[in-house]
Amino acid sequence: MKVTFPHMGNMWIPVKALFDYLEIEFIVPPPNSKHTLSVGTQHSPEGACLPFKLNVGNLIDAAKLGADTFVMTGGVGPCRFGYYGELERQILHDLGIEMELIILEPPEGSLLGLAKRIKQAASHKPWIKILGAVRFAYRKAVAMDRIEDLVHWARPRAEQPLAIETIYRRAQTELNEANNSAAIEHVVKRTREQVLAVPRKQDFTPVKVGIVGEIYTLLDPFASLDIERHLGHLGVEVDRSIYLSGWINEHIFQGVNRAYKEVKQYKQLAHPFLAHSVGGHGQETVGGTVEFGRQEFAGVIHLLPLSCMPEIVAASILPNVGRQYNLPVMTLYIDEQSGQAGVLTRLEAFVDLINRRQSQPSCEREVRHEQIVFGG
Amino acid sequence: MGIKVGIPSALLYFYYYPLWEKFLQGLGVEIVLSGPTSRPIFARGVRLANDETCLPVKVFFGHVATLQQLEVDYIFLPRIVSMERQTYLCPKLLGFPEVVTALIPDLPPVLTADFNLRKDKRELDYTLQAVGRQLGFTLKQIAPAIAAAKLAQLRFEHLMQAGQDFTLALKGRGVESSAPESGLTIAVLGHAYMLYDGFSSLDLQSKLNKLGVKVVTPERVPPSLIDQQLAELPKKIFWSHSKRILGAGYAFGVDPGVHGLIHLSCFGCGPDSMVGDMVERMCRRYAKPFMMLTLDEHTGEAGLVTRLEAYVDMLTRRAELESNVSAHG
Ligand code: SF4
Ligand code: SF4
Repeated sequence: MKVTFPHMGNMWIPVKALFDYLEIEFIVPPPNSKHTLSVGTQHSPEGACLPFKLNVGNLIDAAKLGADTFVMTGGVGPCRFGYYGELERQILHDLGIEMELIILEPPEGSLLGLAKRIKQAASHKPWIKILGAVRFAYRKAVAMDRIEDLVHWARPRAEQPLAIETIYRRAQTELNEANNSAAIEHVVKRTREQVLAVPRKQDFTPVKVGIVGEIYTLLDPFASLDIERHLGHLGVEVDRSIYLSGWINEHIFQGVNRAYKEVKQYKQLAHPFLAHSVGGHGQETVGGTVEFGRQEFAGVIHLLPLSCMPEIVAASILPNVGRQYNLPVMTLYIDEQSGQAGVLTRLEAFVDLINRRQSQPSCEREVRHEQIVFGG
Repeated sequence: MGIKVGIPSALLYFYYYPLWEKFLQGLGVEIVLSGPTSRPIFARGVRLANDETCLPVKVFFGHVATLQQLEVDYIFLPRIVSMERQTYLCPKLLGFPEVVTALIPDLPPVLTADFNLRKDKRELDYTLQAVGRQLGFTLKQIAPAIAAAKLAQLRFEHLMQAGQDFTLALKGRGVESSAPESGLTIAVLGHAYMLYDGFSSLDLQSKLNKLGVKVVTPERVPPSLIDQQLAELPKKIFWSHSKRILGAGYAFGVDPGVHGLIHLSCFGCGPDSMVGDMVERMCRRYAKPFMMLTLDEHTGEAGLVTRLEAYVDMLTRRAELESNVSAHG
């Protein structure tokens, strides 16, 4: 069995750790690129959401590298993500690619069911080994989040932001290679030391921008047009509503673990504005924006793929949140035609706006909500 | 003076209006409808709704804004999470009523409740009770209204299954025996609020009728047959309306009496993008003609007519060919 898993940012690092630990061969699809997107777009329904198209591209690429099984996390709706796996299977089948699909689906509420599924996939290795693998993989996810947070902090402050990118890339490679818990800790520690050693701008306090939105565009730099990096280089410290381990914990472990940044509180924060779950992370987006508002961030950027259902609900409600917390919000719709050049100009304008606002008395600051579609 | 409740004639109206109507009338409440979708209604919706949302949601906004101008005491804006076990409605609908109240300022009071029958269908009674109580009625007054409402809804669904025209079925009118059909039959798949809203569908059904085509829709297919069609799927479809569309698509796909399928979708519909693709794949496997129609506010009538004519021509030729083949074979 050769297993693969579609990309979502750094997700491949913990997933690979899981399968390595279980001694199952794992194929990392080539990183998301224009090529992935064009292959995926060609074979996906036209109206499918962007992450779906990238998934399809990853799977076709991974099949070429010999993968014969793909793993997906599941869901029972109401957002499309819960049906990705099955439609992907049909698409591959119609293309003559026979791949086995394993859906990691916690049948409503039962963690045991999930564990059984992994056990099955791991050709019934002993429980202790499976638990060990899950724990090890999760540790890597949390470590990855800690490193990302360091990077978010360091980018705007560094005199040479590119130095941070080099450290970040090295940390990803090393974390991937770490094969025990001590090694994971060591990577985090060393990364911190390296980051702190980079010379920083004098007397400079970066403005803070929160990033909220659909999980894939939040976590995957290719899908987000790399906006975290761009913002960092524009002197902005970013934070986002959901980190990898937060997502894994909520989506796969049903919240029993401790994540780097918990997502639980968002639903409650969202409640006055959106009292019911709308699937995906619509409520988390609203709650995340409230949280950033409370922490007096300078602005919020909302990312979503065009036609994303839960996030369009959030997009309709965020202007209210922005007004209440005196917070400028920019909503960016992304599709397969979105380009880096367009996004950079928008980001610069947004950063200008919030920098100007920071120098005004808060009562005079105008609240704006912009909705921008990137695409053809 | 009695209470006046405004109901937007859009979106879930096309699925559940008989239930709401009989329930509210049973309480002696006067219902004000926003009426069939028209260009001015739609224009209002486009102005108010999020630019990137789907056509039916824009239409819905137009209806709410229309009710705002009529004198109503409440606007009925329920949050319908699920009407059937194990399924959901589209996430966009789960976000009503907040989305509507966020984007349309100064609405009259909103009459709302969460309909969530996902786990337990008795929730329907509890939710209707909650609605009735918001209007100041007692449980004793509410109970008979609920019973009548459920009956009316069932009757409507049966009439639709029997092939009654939507507007007549909505009035509870039975089907008169119609002349035996000849000619082509096309299955048109889509959400009820697209299929039966003349404005949104650019009168697709009557356009097809004018071309001499008989139209069948997902509402014709009984739920048991839908479940049967979908039994083979390794993963259950979790949207109730899309489930109906897919199951009906599969049923029509293997029905020799149906000559071709049209999937009537609208730009930006999430569930349709997946379910429509599955129907299309199935049609390809069975060599069944399939046409995808994705409408948005810019779709022109003329272009649509040309496409329909071409499709119907193709189906006619195919049908002739097949009858020749079988006559000789
Ligand atoms: S959250 Fe949005 S983009 Fe992600 S799968 Fe669901 S509908 Fe698609
Ligand atoms: S199911 Fe499709 S058409 Fe209906 S509200 Fe959702 S996205 Fe719009």
